Amino acid sequence: MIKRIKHSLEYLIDKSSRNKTSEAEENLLSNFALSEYQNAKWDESLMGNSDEVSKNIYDGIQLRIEKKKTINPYLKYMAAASILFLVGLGFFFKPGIAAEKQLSFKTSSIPKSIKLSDGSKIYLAANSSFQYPEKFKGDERKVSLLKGNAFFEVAKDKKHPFIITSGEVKTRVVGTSFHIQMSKSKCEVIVVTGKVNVTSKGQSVDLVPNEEALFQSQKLTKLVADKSYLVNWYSTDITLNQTTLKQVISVLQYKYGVSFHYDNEQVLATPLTVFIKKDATLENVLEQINYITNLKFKVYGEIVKVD
Amino acid sequence: MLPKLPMKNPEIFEKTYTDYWQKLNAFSYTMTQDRDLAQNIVQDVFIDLWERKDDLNINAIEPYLFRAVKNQIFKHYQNNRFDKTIMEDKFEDYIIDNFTSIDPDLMDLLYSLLDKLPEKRKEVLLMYKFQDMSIDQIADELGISKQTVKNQISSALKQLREGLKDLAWLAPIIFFKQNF
Repeated sequence: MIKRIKHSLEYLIDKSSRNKTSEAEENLLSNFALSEYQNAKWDESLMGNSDEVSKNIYDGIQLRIEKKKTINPYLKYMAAASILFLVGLGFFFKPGIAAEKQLSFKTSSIPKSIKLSDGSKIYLAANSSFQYPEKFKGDERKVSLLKGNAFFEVAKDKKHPFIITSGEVKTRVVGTSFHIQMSKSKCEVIVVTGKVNVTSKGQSVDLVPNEEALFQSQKLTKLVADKSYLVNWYSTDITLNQTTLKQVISVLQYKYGVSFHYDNEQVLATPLTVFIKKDATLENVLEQINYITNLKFKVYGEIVKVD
Repeated sequence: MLPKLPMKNPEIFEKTYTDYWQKLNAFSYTMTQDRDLAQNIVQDVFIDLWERKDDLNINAIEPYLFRAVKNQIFKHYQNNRFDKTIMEDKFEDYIIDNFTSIDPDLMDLLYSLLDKLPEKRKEVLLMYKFQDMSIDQIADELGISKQTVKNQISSALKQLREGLKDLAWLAPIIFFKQNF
């Protein structure tokens, strides 16, 4: 007989989340956490450059509170204004904000996946940002891709359509899997399984597997998907056999949310074979390519330059 | 009256962030060993802080942030968002290191765990942990070699650790408390 033994810590935390812990148990948990907090030290090699990390987190906060900032100037200048005015404001803003508690998920150098409360799985490419409610409420499951690329495996639930907002584009599904790739100038939705409806600015297209919707210069069009996007970059190691640099770059752009800049278009035809491990960093992969091709790829933030 | 922090004030918010983000992030990273998750936790906590309706007392700010990050870590732990054994190992270490300062209510249970140890092992561990005796002193007292003392301590701690992995040691307290 194999029985999974619940660790005493798990047992205590579960109990605490149900408010069932005794005072002694709750103290044990807090004191344990407090001692870890007090002993925690910044370690550059593990936690990253502190200036960069600080900026990264702060930008994320700004991005999320930006939408609500409209409230801010009022509060700033009218701190002494009448209570009635504040009550009025609160009444005005509350429904939009307080309905669902929103959580955010951001990636830096490595793609990551998360599971939502309905069982849907999101594979977020590197340098991407995603927002979702802690628990889905209401008739629709609404999430947003704020930046970068993601692959969605949406849990089937016909009664509660799943809606993803990515910039100006809305993608509506009931249960399926597909990619969304977003950049400043365009947004693409590429379907792997099931049916997907994409709308933007009053335009609408229905997609089936291997089709993609492209939103660019305010126009939504339907295309046949480039097969390199159908590679499972999100969950498996990838081997690209005897392909061209062009194909490799399109996979890398997807997986790591970076863009490539090159002076000479001819390099794109360079033949090569590469192996990309599921959790490899972009630097690892580029090092490998540099070695094979004798080219020089260098990373500048979210831009990769080729010499 | 202590000064209060109006959280919707951008300057105060930014200062609060500058003062505490790093410590909180080091904490969330230590517990999860996941860089992105650790940063996401800190980010979510500060967004919650921004959205707070009531002001916080200046002295209450750090405890508030610590508690919020702790709760997020525990929540992600429950949802298996990171390798749970990292925190579990730390918890075992914490209990073993703080054996003598743990609440008496829970001490009873730790003693029952100790009682499961073979007599000799228990004796050595108690001398080492509770009477603060050195390995040399224990070896002298019991007339055994230093190496044997070391071995006994390490196997006693190992056995104790195993016991902590099992929730059974906490089970009597549920039973007990429910009667109140």
